[in-house]
Amino acid sequence: MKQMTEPDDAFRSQIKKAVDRLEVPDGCLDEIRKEIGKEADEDHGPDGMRRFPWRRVVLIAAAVLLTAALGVGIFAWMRSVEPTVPVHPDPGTIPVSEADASRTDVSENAASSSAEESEPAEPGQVPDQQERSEPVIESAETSAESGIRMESDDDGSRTMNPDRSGSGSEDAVSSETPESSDSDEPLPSDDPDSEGPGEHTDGLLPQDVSDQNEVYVGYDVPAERIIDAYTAFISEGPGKGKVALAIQYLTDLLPIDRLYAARDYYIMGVLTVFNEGLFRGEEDMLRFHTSYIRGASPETVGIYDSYEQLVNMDFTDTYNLYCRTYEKEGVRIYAIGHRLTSEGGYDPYSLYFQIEGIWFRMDANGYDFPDGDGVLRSPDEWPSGIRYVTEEQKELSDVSTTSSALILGIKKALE
Amino acid sequence: MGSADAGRPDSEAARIAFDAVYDRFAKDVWRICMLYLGNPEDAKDASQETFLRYWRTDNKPDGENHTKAWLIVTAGNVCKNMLKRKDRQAVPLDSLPEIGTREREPSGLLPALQKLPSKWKTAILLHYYEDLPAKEIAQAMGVSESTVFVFLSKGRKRLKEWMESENNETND
Repeated sequence: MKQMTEPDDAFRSQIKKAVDRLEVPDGCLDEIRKEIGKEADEDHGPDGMRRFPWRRVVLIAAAVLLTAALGVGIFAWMRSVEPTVPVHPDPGTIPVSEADASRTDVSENAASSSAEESEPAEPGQVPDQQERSEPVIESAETSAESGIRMESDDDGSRTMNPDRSGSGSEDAVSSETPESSDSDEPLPSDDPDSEGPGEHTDGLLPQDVSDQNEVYVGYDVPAERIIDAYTAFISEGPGKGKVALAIQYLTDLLPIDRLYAARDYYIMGVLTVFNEGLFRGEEDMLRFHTSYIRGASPETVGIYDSYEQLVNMDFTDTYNLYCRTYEKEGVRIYAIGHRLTSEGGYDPYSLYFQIEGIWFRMDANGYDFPDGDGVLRSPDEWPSGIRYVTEEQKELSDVSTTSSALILGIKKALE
Repeated sequence: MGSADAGRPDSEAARIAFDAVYDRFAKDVWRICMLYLGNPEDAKDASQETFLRYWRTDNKPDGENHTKAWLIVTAGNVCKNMLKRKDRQAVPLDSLPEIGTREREPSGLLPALQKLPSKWKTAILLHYYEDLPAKEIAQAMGVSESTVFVFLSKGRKRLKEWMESENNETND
């Protein structure tokens, strides 16, 4: 124990006095003991030996069965809406459903696209390079209105970026607003000859908005509710205005327009607020982030200041990450991304930032939170905490140290 | 515990040991629960749940300090779960009716303590109320010793800030 100082001693005495003033009501402890006695009696048989907890086992089994039945029901319902609403595990790529693939000349990608739909993607986990890169190339060819651009590097590889600037650049990440390229092409689903739900008559938005909304019944969260939570957080949460500023900036960075453009549904992200003292610095943050990514460690993460620096790295591991830093109005943001292809495609994934000693994280792909399996879930189903995959991560944090995980959802206004 | 257990070899020793622990720590556990929940009835339920967990666990902590730390940390977790489950705010202690004869709180330490983030609160209580060293607190809370010092330092700082601001308001 640390050497106690006089002020420490005085503080201790104050605490003791204060807590000791909480007087236990008469008979309360006896009542508690009596209740515990009853429970304890149930734990033991007449012979004094501990009983097998049948009741608990039966209850747990019933709960499991109920959950399974519910799961099957939800799965069946999901299957019934799946053909009209492809849900893609990766927010960085626009879904390419089998139906889309069959309507367009992407037959060679149908298998990989299908595989992507069926294979869960964990947060921070990049699917196999082969599966991942092809749909990106095919699906990211979209209209200028969608805000999605494909960037062609010199070697012919392409990188998807949300485009807000409208200007061209060879460097996909070296500027704060990723820029466009010469290779804008319509999405397969934007094919004006295509039919069916999700059809884009103008090459961008679904024709029948109400149908789209119906499809998402169960997922829809009233915009007001989200905005209320968002506003409350901004006005009351730590950092206040600065957080608002950072979030605004983050939403600029995140590739959410791609999802918006593809389908009219709420974009859901998760803003996680970590308690003070959890991360002592960047290294802790990186360790935390990489602790639940297969094959990743802080050592595999580099902080790069330029896109060139990133692409020139000799990556052999698909799961290598990079961290790009941004700074605006005194708020430093670490965008941790995944390398999609050997040519250097990237996908901004998690954005961490620190304000007044408190760390925040915003994830673009919160739509499949907390399981990261690509299944769109209502925010109602999200726990108020973050997901833990490894013991190491548990050690670094736990639900109780996460003061809140705020759901962010912004309804894309149809224009 | 019930007298009907006399002569039952498996449970008897366990219950005697349990009773000793209960007698020694029940009051502290109730107070901790009260600090978290701010409601005597809930504090009672949480205390009961805490001791039931202790009764049922197969890996009972050894020694007084470990037992104390185990109970306080468990009580904190039980309270947090209760608050989460019931989705309600803890009633501020200063809004509670007086229980017994209480002197006026000097500088409102209890309400301030209640408002602390749970980890800080647990660390503060274990260290300053239960006199546990940081090393044992770290073990009980499953964090590093340096993290405990961070919790203690931040908690102390926050409490002092609150108390000072309250004093200033009173003086104004």
